[in-house]
Amino acid sequence: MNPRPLLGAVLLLSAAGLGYEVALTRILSIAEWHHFAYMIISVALLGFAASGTAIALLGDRVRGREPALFRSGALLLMIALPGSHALAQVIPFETFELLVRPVQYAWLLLLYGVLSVPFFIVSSCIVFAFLLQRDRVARVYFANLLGSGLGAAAVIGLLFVAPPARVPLFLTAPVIAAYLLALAGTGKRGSDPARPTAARWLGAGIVAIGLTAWIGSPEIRVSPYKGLSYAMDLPDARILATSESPLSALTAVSSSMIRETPGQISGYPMAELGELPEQAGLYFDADAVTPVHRFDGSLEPFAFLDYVTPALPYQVLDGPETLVVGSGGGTEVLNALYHGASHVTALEVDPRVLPLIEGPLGEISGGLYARPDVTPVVAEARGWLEAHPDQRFDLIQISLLDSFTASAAGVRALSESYLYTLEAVELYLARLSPGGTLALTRWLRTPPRDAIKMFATLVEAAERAGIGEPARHLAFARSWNTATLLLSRAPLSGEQVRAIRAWAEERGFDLSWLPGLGESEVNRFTVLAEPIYWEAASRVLADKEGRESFYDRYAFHVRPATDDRPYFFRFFKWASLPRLSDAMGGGATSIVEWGYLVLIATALQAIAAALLLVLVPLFAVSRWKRGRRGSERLGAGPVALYFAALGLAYLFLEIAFIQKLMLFLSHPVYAIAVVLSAFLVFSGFGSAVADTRMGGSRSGGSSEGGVRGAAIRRPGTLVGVSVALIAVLVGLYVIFLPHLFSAGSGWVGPARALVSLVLLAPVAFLMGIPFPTGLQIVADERQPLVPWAWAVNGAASVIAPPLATLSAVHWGFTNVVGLAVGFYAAAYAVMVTLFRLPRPPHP
Amino acid sequence: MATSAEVRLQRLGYDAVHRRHGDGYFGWPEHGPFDGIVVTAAATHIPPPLVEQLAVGGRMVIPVGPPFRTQQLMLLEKRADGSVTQRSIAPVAFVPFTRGEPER
Repeated sequence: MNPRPLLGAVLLLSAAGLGYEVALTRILSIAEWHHFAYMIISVALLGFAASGTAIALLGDRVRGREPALFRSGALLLMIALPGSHALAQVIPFETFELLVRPVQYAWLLLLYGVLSVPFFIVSSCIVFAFLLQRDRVARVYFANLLGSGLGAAAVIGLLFVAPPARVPLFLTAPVIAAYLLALAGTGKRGSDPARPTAARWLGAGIVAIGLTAWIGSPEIRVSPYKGLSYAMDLPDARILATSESPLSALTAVSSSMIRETPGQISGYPMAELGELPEQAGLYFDADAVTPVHRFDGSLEPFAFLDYVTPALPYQVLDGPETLVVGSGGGTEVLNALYHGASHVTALEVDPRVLPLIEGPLGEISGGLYARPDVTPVVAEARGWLEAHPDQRFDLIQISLLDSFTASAAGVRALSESYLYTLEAVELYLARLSPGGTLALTRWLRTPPRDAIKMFATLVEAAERAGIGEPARHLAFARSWNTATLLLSRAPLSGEQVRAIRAWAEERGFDLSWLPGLGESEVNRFTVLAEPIYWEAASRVLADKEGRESFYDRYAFHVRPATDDRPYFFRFFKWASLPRLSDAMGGGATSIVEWGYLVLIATALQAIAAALLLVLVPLFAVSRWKRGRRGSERLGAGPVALYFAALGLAYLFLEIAFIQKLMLFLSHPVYAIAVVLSAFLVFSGFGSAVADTRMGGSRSGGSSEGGVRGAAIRRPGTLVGVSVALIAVLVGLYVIFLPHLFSAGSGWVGPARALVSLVLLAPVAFLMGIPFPTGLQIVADERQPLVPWAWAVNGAASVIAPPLATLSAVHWGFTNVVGLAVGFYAAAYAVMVTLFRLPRPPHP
Repeated sequence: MATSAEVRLQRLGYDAVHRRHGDGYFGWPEHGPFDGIVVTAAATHIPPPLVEQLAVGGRMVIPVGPPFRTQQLMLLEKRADGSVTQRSIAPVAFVPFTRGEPER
């Protein structure tokens, strides 16, 4: 049997599998919310483990039929890819109803099942290929990894031009090619009676795909609870433009009833100053909205922007040179212009926002970004500021980058944000002119948390930057639902303090910190039961001891975020749960961030399902205990430990690198694309090299019945050296990457991506070695355990991401990397102590 | 719905009730100011026209917050100097404020 076509087919099927995963992430982020997308995909990926378990259970019934099963798998996948996507769109699952309608759990289970089918099939085919190529498993693994890496990269590229809902259909193309290759590679030449049948089946498969294409891939079913669905229900709602990319789906909607304001405007005298300008809503992934205001060159209609808290910095600045971070639809640009900014630099990270506003929405936006006093820049703020060390601003304004809705639900609890860390604020301070100020606006929640953490971040960053008395540099104004915090490089003058006081008094905003502010002056307009913000600000500004005890005792996690733990939005503390739940009358939803809950749920579900998948064969297959085939030298326990440790190690490192590169590559999606592709492709090459290392010492030829005596030369050394080098490399990365990133922040995107690829290549290469080396031992010593080893590894790979994220939240990324190295060391220890292998022959 | 409510209220003898079908965001300025305003759907911000139509010493209750999430029931009071105080009374969940086209 010719292995080349088979390996080609494995490569193509793996590409389709990973491509499907990438497409699903986009589809589910649009349909639901990204953390639910994460949970659903995580469980669906258990299809990988399940296939190993199923094949392990089938045991001898598979033997000899692998070629036919492989072909059937490819055939089924042609239907399963578009079919699974289509079915998922008719399942009426609603995340927000989980707590109130138990039937939703049934729908969720069904969704898991439907979405996992393609993964199950792809993975089954890979296991069949392992069994067919049992003397050279590393080659199959190479094809699998290379295909996965290429598939991920290709689909991320495809998402720039194709709507995500079409991708599952496109992925049938490599599957058809895989089927043809499998036919060439596994069918007997000439007189194979299976060939005409196979050709007919292929014809049927293609007709089915054609039908699906003709009917059209179903549109993504967007949850009615998302902002876009709500907007589309407005009487005169109309979609003006859409734009798809791997970053997000953008939808511009016009309706005379869209009225988004950056905070409360209850004090705005509408009868006197006029109604708000007409707006279009720009929705990201059908939810977070940024308004685009109708602008005709006159700033008069934007008087309402002096009635929201982000107007605070303009009370102390005169004609400031302003930097707006996250300009989006332009609200803060208009705010700056209305308040007489001399010039505005508008940073926006999403490259499609500006063309959309200037293009299809140009009639509404009125050339805002084309004004001579506005300079739009497509860039992530930290990278851009690092790359422009000589730029100085009188005002850096960072206002409400996430939507009110997202903030209220705490959906971002576990998204990394490098904009709100201590290191970030230090950088902002360094780019301010001597009299400049930094202004940050956050949505408020009950009980209070966001603004307190932001205030603590400003205080600590100011101290790090050498500001002796931060108390004299800070101002804090709040409305009902927003707070704006101001940090000035110079101490606030008496005149500035008076200006802030007068403005807040007139607008009905409460001051929670200002130099010289007395207790009698706080908590007057939006009255809280206690003046919590003022008290918290005082505690944070007290001595270090007082601050630490405040952090420890406050009901939420308000200690500032750092680059090593960039989780500004994580507020939840387990210890406070009972107390807060009582205080809120048993309702926990406003206390616990959804993002955090979902992550815990993901981890628990994955662990439960993974244990089930891994343990079932152990009890069901008594054959293994008798050890009818293969030696007794290799126990199931050590195999499980080895492959679980490898799965955890690999994914912990992968996730740590995604987090580390997020800042350097300026967007999570770019980091995922680069890390995923680089890891898979270079690990593929690592396993190819492992294959030659192993193949060279083997007796070669067929391995029917297991090749005793043809043992791999020194597998322990191969794995040991790889693990040691991995440890050294990641250690160096932890130390040197931050310096490199800061040096390279000015490079263009492709250059940064290329440097990242080069950096990742050696470590990914080494990470590709331990898995096939171990699997070859299993294939040689105890072949029936091969599918099971695959299942164990697949299960560990699904458990690892939520565990890695939880570890990062609580202990920081450096420790995630440390844990990964620990898992690798454990795998090595298991191999050298528990795999009782024959001593290698001396050369 | 507006018509059926009017008919029902008349039948039951509530002759002090006036009704109008329109966009609640803008209130009913011709009849203002009001001593009390009750809003029974959640808006993302407190509509300024309603605050303007509140009489001195008047009170308004309104659920505010994002659609389909935890919202706050706010109590607004207008003081003699025209300034407004507000406090959150309880976390609530109301249907979203859908704004209709103003009556022509």
